[in-house]
Amino acid sequence: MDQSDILPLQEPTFFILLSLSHEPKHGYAILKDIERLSGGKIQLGTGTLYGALNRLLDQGLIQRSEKGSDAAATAPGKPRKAYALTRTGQRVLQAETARLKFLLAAARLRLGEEAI
Amino acid sequence: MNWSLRLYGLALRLYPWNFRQKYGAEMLDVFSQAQAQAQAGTESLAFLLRELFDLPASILREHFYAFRSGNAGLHPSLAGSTSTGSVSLGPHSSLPPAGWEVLLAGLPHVLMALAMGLLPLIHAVTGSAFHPTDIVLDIVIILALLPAAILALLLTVLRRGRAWAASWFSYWFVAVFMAVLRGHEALFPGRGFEYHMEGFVVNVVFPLIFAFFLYTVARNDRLKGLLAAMPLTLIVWLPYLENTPHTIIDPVAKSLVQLVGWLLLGGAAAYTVRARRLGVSVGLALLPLLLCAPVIVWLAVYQGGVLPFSENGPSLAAVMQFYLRTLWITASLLLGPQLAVSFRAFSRQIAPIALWFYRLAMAGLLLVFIAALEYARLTYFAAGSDFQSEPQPLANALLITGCTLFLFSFALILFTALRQPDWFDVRKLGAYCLLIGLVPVILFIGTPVRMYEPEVPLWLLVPTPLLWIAGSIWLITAKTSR
Repeated sequence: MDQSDILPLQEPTFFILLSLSHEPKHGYAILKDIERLSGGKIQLGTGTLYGALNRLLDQGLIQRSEKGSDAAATAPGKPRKAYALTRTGQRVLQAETARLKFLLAAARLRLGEEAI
Repeated sequence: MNWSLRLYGLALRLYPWNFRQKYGAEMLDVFSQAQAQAQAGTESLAFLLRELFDLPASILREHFYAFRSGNAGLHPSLAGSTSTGSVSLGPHSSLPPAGWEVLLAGLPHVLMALAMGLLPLIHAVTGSAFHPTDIVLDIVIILALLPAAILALLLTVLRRGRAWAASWFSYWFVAVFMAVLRGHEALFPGRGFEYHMEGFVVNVVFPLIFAFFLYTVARNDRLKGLLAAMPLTLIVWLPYLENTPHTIIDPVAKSLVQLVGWLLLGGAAAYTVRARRLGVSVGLALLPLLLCAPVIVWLAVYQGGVLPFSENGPSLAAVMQFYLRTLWITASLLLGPQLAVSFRAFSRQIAPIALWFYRLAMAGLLLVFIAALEYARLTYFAAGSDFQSEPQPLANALLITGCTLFLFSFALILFTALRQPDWFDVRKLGAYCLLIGLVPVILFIGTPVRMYEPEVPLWLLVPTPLLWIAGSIWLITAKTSR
């Protein structure tokens, strides 16, 4: 899939990818991490989170992972599923970050450092 | 499990089936953890409110995504089209439907039984002060059917593709049609439908849209196509009862026959959703035609013997004339779309190019169909005038072009079939040509005004519709393999 089809990312999607950039996480850990990363400004609903995860899986930006699965925390036979960033996902995250940097640089150029 | 978790579990059922299967358990788990973390009063409330506001948008988004990605998120029992025309309805048999789905399939017909049969029957038997005049009946139908139809529509949107919803399709279509007629009456009081544009829309465009709709539903899923067409097996006969004055027609018999007819239809629809057997379902759908329709015609023609059927006189031969013609029309509405879909699968099995010839044949049939409707419309509005003698160039041109295209396409299909190295069933091809080709002719000769025309000899009229029905059932339920 061409990156231009995916970019720009929506805010929740960006934060989900960002949250998975260091290590695989399961659903609840992603929710809490996003809340921390955004300073409490973004609090995703469970439905929105899993909708976004579904699309990211379809697009190949994330994958299910054994690492980070928390089998002990849930009932036997139902290990909590973890999600990990794929290489494509990493590239998309980098491209989106570069895009945001470019926007920020343009804004700085026009508005000055102190206005940002 | 606390109440909020239980409610959330129920709300998850509104997501597309595939999505729910993939993430339902995880979502419930995440919800439970998040709720456990937000124990404090305001924090817990904020969490619940956030989930509450998130749910509707998220559900709609997932349905839209499932739809756009070509994966309707259907339950395996309904996923996958049977458009190949094979009567082995494979995907349907993987999981049995829930009991409430079976009930919902039969519900619209049962409501019709209550409104059209039971209430008038109670009045006729008890002679109660409550007189279900047509207006009262309208109100009862609106009160009983409309909320149920809206509820079913909502459920259909939320749980797209459920088989039972097809039972409601025709009622919605009729409701839209009635709304357009009423709207026209309100906007243009006193202006009838004999005006060219309105007449054309009501008598040609609407039936065409409806026929196309029935065909499309059947093409996507043959059982749903059958369910959608089922109400027509009784609706078509209702004018017989409406046009005969209440003072002459036996009110008990009239109510009873409607009650039995709609209940039979309800049973047929419920069985169709439950058992998913096309052949038996077709047989059950035809039952009201064989058991109730003769009584309806007898009441209107033989017992009533009044307008609009008095010209033929109250004789059994006249009853047969009306019954067999209308039976043929009704059966063609029920079986016609199935026949076309079945022929589509047959053509595709011959060769890929034959599918294109099939489409050409259907285009030709469509032109003939339009011509038949246009003839019927012109004849209807010309009743009592000498308009019939006027030339009808558009309808004639459509008829000739349509017939030529239809026959030419069939010849091409036959030619393609004969060129195939394997043996091919030419008899079946001929049967398709004859039976499908007769559909617009049936509708043409069966229109009410045409019934005033000289009677068709009974020796010809009796076997023809019955053979057409038998042949159609044979083709619809036969295996399409070579």
